[in-house]
Amino acid sequence: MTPDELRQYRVNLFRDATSMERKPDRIPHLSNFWTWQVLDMGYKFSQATHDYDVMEKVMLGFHERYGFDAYQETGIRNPQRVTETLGDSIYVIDDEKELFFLQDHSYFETGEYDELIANPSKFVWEKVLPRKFYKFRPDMDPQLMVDCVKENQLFWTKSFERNNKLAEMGVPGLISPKNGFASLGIEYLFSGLRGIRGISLDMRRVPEKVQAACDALDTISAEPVVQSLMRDVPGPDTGYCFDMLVAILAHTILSMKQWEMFYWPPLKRIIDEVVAKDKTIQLFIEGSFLRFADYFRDYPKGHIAIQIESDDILEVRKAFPNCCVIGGMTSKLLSQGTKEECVDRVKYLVDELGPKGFILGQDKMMSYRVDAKPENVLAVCEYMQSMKL
Amino acid sequence: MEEAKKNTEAGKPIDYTKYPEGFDAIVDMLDFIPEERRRATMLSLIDNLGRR
Repeated sequence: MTPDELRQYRVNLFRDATSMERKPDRIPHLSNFWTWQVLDMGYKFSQATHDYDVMEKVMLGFHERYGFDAYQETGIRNPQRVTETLGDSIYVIDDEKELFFLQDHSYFETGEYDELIANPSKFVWEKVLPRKFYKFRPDMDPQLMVDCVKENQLFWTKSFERNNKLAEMGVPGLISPKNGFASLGIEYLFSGLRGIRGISLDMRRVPEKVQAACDALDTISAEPVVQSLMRDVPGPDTGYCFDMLVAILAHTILSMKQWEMFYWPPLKRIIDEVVAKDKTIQLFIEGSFLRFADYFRDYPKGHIAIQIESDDILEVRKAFPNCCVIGGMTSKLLSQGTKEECVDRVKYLVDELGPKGFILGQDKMMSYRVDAKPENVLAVCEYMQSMKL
Repeated sequence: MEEAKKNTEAGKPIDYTKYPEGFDAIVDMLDFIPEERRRATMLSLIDNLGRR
């Protein structure tokens, strides 16, 4: 196949699997490898996140070695150079210990919700950025922000170049840029502004303020995506594996009542519009999600693909019979098992979940060297490339 | 700093951490971006900086 043909073939694998009605030529294989890629290619975290030539070598080399059908991460997760223009990054990188993590953080207090609600952009500019970045000061040289804009442009330019080179190797983009990635207001509070501990306390103490803050943040995060969907032509963007993605993390600390109040309304609005426009959405979910299954029961097949982490994928299939499931290949097996055990796991999953409505992926964001043995990853990849349904 | 003072009224320095005056002053400096896209570019950057 030519690269264009291979790219379209791979898109069709994902589109057919998500349809749940069409049998794909084989089960698609999605990479949920993140910083593990950097180490496997022989580089350090700080090298790959600060040198775009290194990041390109990581991404292209990773594909040459393993040949997944599509990639969750192509080097866009950590814009270190952009954030470091204004001061230290909130991410901790220890190359010697091969650690790359984020500590829980909060950039405002409970008493400041009214300011956030009144104008989220103003709030982030005046309150959050100065607390987060030590160089963002009243008397700063404005060239600093101009440099930050240029670094951001460079970050995205290099990202597009990498994706184009992967496309030349027959790798499709995972998510259509038309509607792209939507992050809900509650997620913005959870992982960006208030932190896990802070938002947990606020949801109990001042739930109406948190609700209003979510609504205000959704006007700049989720609502533009809904508006974009409403303006978009019906039907899938067949150059990509999915039409859009929502990352779901904050649900892990929510009670059902809090889910009903803070999470479900904007998420439902997005999914309703995806279905109305006959498009597909990938839900990238951390933690467990089984307790929310009832909320998805009324959606028709063919629009939702759920990428799971903690839950047993067979239980997810039963609980979400109308959704394509992504996952199943455990990091435990990839790191501790043999090549034969890993391939046997794939065969088992295909028998139990296939041939329709299943995409093989890893059960966590593969980040550190211990998360998998390269030979096991390669064995699974080679099997997936050769298998036929 | 001298350039910043030229952009102020009565020689008072701009506080770049104020919105919208500091934000707008920086948007005006983005002459490498088409004018109609500068504001959206900055708002997108703020969103990213707030999350990452």
